[in-house]
Amino acid sequence: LNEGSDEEEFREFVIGTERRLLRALTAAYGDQRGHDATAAALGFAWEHRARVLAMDNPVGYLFRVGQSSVRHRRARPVFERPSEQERRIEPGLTAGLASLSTRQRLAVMLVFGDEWTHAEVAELMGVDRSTVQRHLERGLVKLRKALQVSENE
Amino acid sequence: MSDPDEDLKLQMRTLLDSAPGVTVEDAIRSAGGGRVGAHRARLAVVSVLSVLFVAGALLAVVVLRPSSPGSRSPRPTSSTIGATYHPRSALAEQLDQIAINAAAAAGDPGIQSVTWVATTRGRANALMDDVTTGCSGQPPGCSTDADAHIYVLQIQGFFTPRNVSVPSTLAPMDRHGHTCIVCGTAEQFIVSAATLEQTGGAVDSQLVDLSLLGKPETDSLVGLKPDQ
Repeated sequence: LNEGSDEEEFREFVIGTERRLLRALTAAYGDQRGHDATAAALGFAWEHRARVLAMDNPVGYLFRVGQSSVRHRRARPVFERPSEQERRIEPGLTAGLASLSTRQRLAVMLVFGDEWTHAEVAELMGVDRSTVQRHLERGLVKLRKALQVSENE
Repeated sequence: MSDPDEDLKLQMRTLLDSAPGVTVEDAIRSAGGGRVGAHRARLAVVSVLSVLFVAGALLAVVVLRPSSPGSRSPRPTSSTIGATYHPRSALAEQLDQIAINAAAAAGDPGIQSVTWVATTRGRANALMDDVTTGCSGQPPGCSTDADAHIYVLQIQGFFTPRNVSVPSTLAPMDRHGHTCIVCGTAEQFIVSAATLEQTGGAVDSQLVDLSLLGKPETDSLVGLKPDQ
């Protein structure tokens, strides 16, 4: 009975956290490694559910768990191009995003692309909001340069 | 006309949505045997290997430490005599020349190194026998004073000193298979610190641990020729 109750509680936890965690780790490491890291982090959460479920910032904690699971594998993030039926993706966008630092890419994709607040990203990364703003500004400048577009274009 | 920023945002959202979702079942499956577990296992392996490496290095240091006296290696090295090589000082140069001359006189001019230590005659007497430390023939500067400063030199090779009377039936064979009067692979001799004159010596088959007298130094004699 306890096992079933545990699983139900954990299922609710996953429903509430999986999307944000997956998006954050995808922004950091690309879709395939982001998926792997999320699975590893949620697997860790299942193993330590009593502790993780009681945390104030479980997404931030599990984000670091996910980072640890992929950090030893040095590789640039890879975003697979969606199929033709899906929305058109600028040819240089994936390469441009891959050229940013992990923190810049997190700030750009989550704040600029996914409308997270600075505070949410700061909590995830364990930094203050001004740092997120700085990563965002520098990341956007670098990305626009890579895409050869200006802010007013 | 579309806003380029809005267009860029939509494209990023598409990329963020491109990762397949993780279900509760996926999470439970990856628990324990997942990547975190694998990463931990790798860390454990690396830790064990690191410990083994450090242990191996320590073992190597212990094994390669200076050997105990009595080693019969015919060609000494710094690690077998118990001292380290150092840049040759003026004193060391003189002691080196004395050593190579003594080795040549004892029948082996090809020795590779000499180990020497600064000590007093009293301390040398306590460690070695009187023949080695005595002032044979009383050369100038020789002193039997226990506080007299001396250098004890030790060389290793194949030595057959002259002017020693031993019955031929007791004489061992040298490295060429010839009978020699007194054969040995180690020679210790005393040099007065005041005059740098040799005041005693002995051939033996056992090395003396000079570190018992002080901090020994070892000089390479490679390329050094005995005086004519």
